[in-house]
Amino acid sequence: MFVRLAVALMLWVALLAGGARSTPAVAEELALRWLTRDGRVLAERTLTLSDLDGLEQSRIETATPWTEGPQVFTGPSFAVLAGLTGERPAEAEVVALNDYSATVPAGDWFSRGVILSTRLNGETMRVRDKGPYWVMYPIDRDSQLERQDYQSRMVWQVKSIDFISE
Amino acid sequence: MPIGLLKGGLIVTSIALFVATAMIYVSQSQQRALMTATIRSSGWVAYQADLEFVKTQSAFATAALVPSGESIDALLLRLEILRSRLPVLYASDEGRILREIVATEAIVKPFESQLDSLIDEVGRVAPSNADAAGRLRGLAERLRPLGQVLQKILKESVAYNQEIFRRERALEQAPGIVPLVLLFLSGATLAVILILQGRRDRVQLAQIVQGKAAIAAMEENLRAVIEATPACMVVVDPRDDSVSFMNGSAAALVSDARDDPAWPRFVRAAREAAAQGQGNRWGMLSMAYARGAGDVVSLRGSFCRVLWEHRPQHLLVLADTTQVRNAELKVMQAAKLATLGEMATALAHELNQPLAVIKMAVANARRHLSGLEGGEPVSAKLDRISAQVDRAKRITDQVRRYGRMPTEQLQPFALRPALELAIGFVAEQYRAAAIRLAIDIDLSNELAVRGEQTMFEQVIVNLLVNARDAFDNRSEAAHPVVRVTARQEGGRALIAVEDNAGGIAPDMLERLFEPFATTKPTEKGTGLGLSLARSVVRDMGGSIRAENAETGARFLVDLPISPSFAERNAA
Amino acid sequence: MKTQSTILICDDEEELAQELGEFFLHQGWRVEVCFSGGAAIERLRAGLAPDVLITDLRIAGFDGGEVLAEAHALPPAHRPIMSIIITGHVLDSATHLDFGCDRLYVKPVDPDILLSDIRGFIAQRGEMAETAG
Repeated sequence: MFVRLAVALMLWVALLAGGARSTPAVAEELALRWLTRDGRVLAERTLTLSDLDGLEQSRIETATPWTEGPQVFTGPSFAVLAGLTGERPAEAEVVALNDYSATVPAGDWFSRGVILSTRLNGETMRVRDKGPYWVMYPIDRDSQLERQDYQSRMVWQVKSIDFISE
Repeated sequence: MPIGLLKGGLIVTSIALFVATAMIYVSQSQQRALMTATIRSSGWVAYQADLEFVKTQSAFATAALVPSGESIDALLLRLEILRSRLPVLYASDEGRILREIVATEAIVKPFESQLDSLIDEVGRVAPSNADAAGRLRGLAERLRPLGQVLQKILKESVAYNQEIFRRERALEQAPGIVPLVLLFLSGATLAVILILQGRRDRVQLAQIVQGKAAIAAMEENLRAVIEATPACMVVVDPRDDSVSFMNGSAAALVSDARDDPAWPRFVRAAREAAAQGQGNRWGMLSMAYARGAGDVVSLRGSFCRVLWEHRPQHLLVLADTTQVRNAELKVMQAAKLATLGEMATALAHELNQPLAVIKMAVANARRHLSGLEGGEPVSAKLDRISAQVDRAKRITDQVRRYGRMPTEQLQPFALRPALELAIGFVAEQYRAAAIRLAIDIDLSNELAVRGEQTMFEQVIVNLLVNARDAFDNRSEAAHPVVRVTARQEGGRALIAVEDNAGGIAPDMLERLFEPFATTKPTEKGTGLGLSLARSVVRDMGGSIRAENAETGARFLVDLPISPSFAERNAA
Repeated sequence: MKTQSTILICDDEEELAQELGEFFLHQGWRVEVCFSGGAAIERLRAGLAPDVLITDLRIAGFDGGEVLAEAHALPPAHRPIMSIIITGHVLDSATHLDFGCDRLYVKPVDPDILLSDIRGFIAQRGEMAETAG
């Protein structure tokens, strides 16, 4: 009885939590927003996989801590995504399907080569394989990227990106 | 120096330890940062998986409660996410740390395929199916073991993390203690050595200062000594022979001013004298220095090397030996005279032989002439020759007597009888010349003097004869008198022979006692009498002098008294 | 009394001995002259028996004293009445007694004085001899 109550409570919380955010109907949809720092929305886009495929693609071949051997990641770079609406954001807040979020500073797409990979070794990624979209850096090319703070930005199961301008 | 080596070594060690400590700190911080991050992440990964599991269970419950397309889609999403979290437990940086705690891969991998098939089955559940809820509940049940595993993994990782954190804290509290201790030790030792060194340096400095003061004091003393020395001391700069220093005596000798041209002249003369001495610039030198105005000073000394005013210079030390030199000359003179004396004896002896022959020949010649006519002129000449022989004899006599060694025969003799004897010798002559002899001898018969009696008598006779001869020149002096007085005064006997024959010319008075000084014509005087008299009186330890009295000359003889016979015999 | 007196003169100074000899010759004496002590002693031993002996102190090879000694060693009949020393040395306090002779003269000697001394001495001796009988 008690347990049932606890579960019900949890359900309500989950529902509320679930409702608080706009969850895309399909996991493959990517919600992009451009905001000012104080939260005013400048622009919004929702892109599908084919939309992302239509953008300029970048390619990274690298090993990662979560995979074995060199892997090839392809997808649009953050610079391309950030500049879709003509804004020049200072950072991007990337949120994953499990509500994990990390901040990618503009410097990372200007000088670190960060991309939003849509395909791993040419194949799309299932959610269980850390798809559909995975933030990736060219780790092998830059030993700095092995650091924890960079690893924490390699968000997988990306569901939304908020570009924040100054 | 071993201390220097030790210091150097300690400095190097300190620096090295400092660097090492710094590096250890840096690497430790890095490690700590890395470790914390990783530890946090590893725990986080385990927690994430567990969290996803719970979320999945709740998604199951929701779907079981209200089976719908949406709820089942949501459930599927959750299951996918959960499924994606499982490999992360062993295939990630954090997972690799977790694997050290719990064999995550071995435990988790079987659940992956389970979960894969579970997802498929959930995907096949139609929401419109009445059994959907029940089926879902059944599927949710199959998840339970996974949940337990995930819990276990989480617990283990937490425990590990706690251990790590504990160790970290322990490390924080004792960071790099060994290098720190060593650093402290080396630093402390270095400090101690530096302090000791500083103290030793201070002591050495004090000693040096003291040493310098002592040297300064010694230099002062030396200067004072040099100033006080009666010898002349001059320090000469060997580069140009200029005078660096002169003491008082030297300044008095040559000049007060160092740049006086007399000085270079003097130094040059000294160097020449030194070079003559031994053929080099050093050594004993003997020189005469003309100070001008006919004043010549004899000097004897040497050059030597000396350190003066921190430069090697030459020290010239000279002593004034004028007196000594003069004494030396006098001694040489006396020796010459002594030799002369000996020669005089031989001379007299040798001369007497030819004189004897001449005398005899003259007498014989006279005999031959006695009967001849016109022999008077020749006879007169013969007389002259004979007289000259007598004169020559007198001279040889005197000369011989003059050259006698003075140390012979100083015997005590009674003065009074000797005087009376001498007077007696001339008494007849005085009577013949009608000169009165006034005698006043106030001496005891025993009073004695030391000397040779006959020589002394000679002296008195000589004085009396001179006095008598003085009257020859003066024509008709009224009442010619010669007074002889003698008296005792303290330890001395004073004898005076005084005449009233008019005195002696002052210029003669000075030279009276010199040999061959005479006022008498050649037949009478040899000129040696007074000179001999002076030497005889001197041998007796006394003195003789002449002066002009009221109407004539007076000769005074001053003799020391020897203990008289009577006194000696009585004692 | 002899009619002529004999005098023996000994001196290594030959010229002096000759002059002295000539002097006494003029006085009517018989003169014998020797230039060495050895010769003098030979003469004496040969029985010369001079009345007067005059000798120098130092004669070549012989001390004048030795000549005197020899003379005094003669038998009384041959012994000279008077012995005289004439010397070139200047002697301060020596007398004839020191040398065992009758007279001592230092050269140069006045011949007149010498002669009168000799005459006086011999006359004195002669009187004494007569007195002695």
